[in-house]
Amino acid sequence: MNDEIILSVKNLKKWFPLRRSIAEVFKGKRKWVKAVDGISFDIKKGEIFALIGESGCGKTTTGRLIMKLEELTAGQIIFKGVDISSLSSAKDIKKYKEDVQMVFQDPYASMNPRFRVRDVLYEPLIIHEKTKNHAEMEQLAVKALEEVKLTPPDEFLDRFPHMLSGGQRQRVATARTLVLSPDLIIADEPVSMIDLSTRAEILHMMKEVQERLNLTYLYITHDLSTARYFCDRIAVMYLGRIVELGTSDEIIENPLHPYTKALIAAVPEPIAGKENIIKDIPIKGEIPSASNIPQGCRFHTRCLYAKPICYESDNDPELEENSNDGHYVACYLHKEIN
Amino acid sequence: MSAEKKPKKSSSRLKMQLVDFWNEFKQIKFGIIGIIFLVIAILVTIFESFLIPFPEASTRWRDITYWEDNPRNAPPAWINWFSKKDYTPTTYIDDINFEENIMSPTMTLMTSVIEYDYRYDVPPIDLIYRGRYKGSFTLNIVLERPDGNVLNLVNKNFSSPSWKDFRVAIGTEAKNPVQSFAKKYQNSSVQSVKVNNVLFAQANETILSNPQPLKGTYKFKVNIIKTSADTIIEEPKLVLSGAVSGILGTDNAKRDIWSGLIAGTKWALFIGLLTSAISVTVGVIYGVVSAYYGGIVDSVMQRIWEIFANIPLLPVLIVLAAIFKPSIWSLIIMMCLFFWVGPVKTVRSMALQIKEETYVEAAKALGASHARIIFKHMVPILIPYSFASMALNVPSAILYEASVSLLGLGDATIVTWGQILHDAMNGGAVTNGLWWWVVPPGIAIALIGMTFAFIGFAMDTILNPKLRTR
Repeated sequence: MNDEIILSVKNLKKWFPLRRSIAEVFKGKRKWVKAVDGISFDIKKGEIFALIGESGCGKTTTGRLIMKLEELTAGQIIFKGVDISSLSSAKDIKKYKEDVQMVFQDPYASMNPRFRVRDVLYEPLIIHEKTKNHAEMEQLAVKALEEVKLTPPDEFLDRFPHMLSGGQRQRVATARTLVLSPDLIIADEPVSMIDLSTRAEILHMMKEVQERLNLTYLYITHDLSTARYFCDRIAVMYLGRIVELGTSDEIIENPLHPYTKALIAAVPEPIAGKENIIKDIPIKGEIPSASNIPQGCRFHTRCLYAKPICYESDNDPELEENSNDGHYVACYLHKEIN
Repeated sequence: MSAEKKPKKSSSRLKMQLVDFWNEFKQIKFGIIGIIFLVIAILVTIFESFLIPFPEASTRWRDITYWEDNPRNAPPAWINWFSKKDYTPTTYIDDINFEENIMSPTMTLMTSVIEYDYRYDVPPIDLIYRGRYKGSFTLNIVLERPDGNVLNLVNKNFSSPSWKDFRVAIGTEAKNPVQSFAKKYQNSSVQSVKVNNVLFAQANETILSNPQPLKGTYKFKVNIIKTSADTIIEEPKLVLSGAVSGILGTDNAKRDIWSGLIAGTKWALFIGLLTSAISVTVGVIYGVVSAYYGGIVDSVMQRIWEIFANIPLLPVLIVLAAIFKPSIWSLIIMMCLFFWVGPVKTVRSMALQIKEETYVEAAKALGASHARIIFKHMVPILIPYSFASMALNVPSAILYEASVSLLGLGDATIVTWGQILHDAMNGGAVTNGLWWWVVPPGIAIALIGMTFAFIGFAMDTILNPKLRTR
């Protein structure tokens, strides 16, 4: 791993407009769902970077924005020094989509049920006009299947997705991203829908591939335990903002933000004798709506430590480095709490 | 794990789906009935030339000379099974063998005897002797009746340097000899003699007023004297233009309705299938495109759809058929212009659902073009529905063609069921009791419509409730 930054997200925002009543249209009021509300992070070449948060916190939207499946509202996404939101020609966008690939959450839905594994793997090659030669395509497809350890590849090429298990499908989905030899792979909860028994295997395979091909992953998940095993750095998101960012060990061992603490406390521990103990999770209430974000620190409604500064200030606390160790936290009170 | 089993190379998903589909289809009885009728219709189209006595019915439907030997407004031949009197059916005698007798270098005598076994109560309408010739000859026809009477019916000269048809209608040519023959038995003041009534009647004193049929073998002796060496005569035949004719009778232009009906089958299938195939294809693509792009494109496309969906088709068809020269093609094009609206709404709602599928998203993430997503990922899923929709569209296309034809605006170069009905209406078939002219084409239209409706309903029951995505 070196320090070369491959993807840099700066103050990224995605606001979805809400339907308005006629009165609101006349008054000129606009309502927004602020799915992603000003996030910034850098991903270094060759690392695995995790975005963690509960459902609705904007982590998937961030992935989709980077993949250009959504248009961003504000901010910049800089990939290899180029702002991809300013890419306008279809050719440049296509080139970008060759370098950045995505693995989707649901391996049952992410492949066309009418496509054979062969067609699934040929599709990127056809779209990006890599080769027209079928023998060559097959060679590339076989290579990708070998990378993801679906062996012997010949046996899988002519199967349909419904003839594969969940784990095998996710391997094929990973193979699909590999045929174009991308630089960055966005993995949107790739193992959340797979049997627990196969999860570790898939993650292990993904990590192996990453190390062998020197890939960079943006790993989007809600699962802290896999993130620690899998990732180099973790960013914790809450309601469209990053509340804490640091190396995975730091985040898990030494969480600074109350929300991260709550998340870690909520991880069940399958230890004999402890399974019946319901842990006292240091959080209260439900996650607020992204269309009606609390004033000040957006976590204050659920925070056990909240003080007037948290809800009287006009802005969210900025991410600041804790003690020069690359561990950032966005909390007014983090020094007092810890 | 079953998924680990090695799949057979040959097992294709499409084949599997088709087998599945067929197994379900078999359960639906009316679907099977539909298939049977469709197979019959296709067989009729394929074997058309074996089924009809007038092979050129389709192309020469409006050619009077093609039909001139038939009786006019004759009922079907099978009414003999139900009526007390037996009517003579139209009979073509064309295996005529000549005995050649060279009389001099330029003159040749050709003689043949045509035997006709008459065992009916009502005589034929007319007797016609016809063929093609080149050169010059004299035609003489002598009839020997079962009671021994001999009548010299026709003496006529023909001459032409090029190929020409000759046609002798005995009913008009033989008036005089027949009249004098009849007068020998009954002195009547009746001036007009019905030639055929006399020819096939018993020679007694009521031959004119109340002719009794004389059953037995009639011998027509045809003597042809070629008066030049290069005279050639081809395809001679004797036609007994019956009181009843063919399988479904004839219309007022002497056309054989059975032939028209069978020849019309292929046009019904052609119009129905082509129109529905084109319009459903267009409609499905329209619906998918509208759903896929969404937003303003969708709004505009749906408004255009609403305009087309709300224009009444028949008046427009009538006006357009009146302005342009009606042909089968312009009719199909015009029907397609309005039929494509059928599947759009359903397809759009299905496509809105497919559009959100992750694999469509995945294709977008890969940088797939819009066309690729629409035609590779979305349209294939709608194919089963499209087929059901096509089957359901066929009857209305056939009906509209029939309606336009019934109004007299059909294609004049072909024969369709609607046109037969149109002619029947003009010919006063209903008021004159010519049911064989009206009922068969009506039933045919209803049957073919039923066929496709049954198939369409059956497919719909199987395919529509589920969007078979996996």
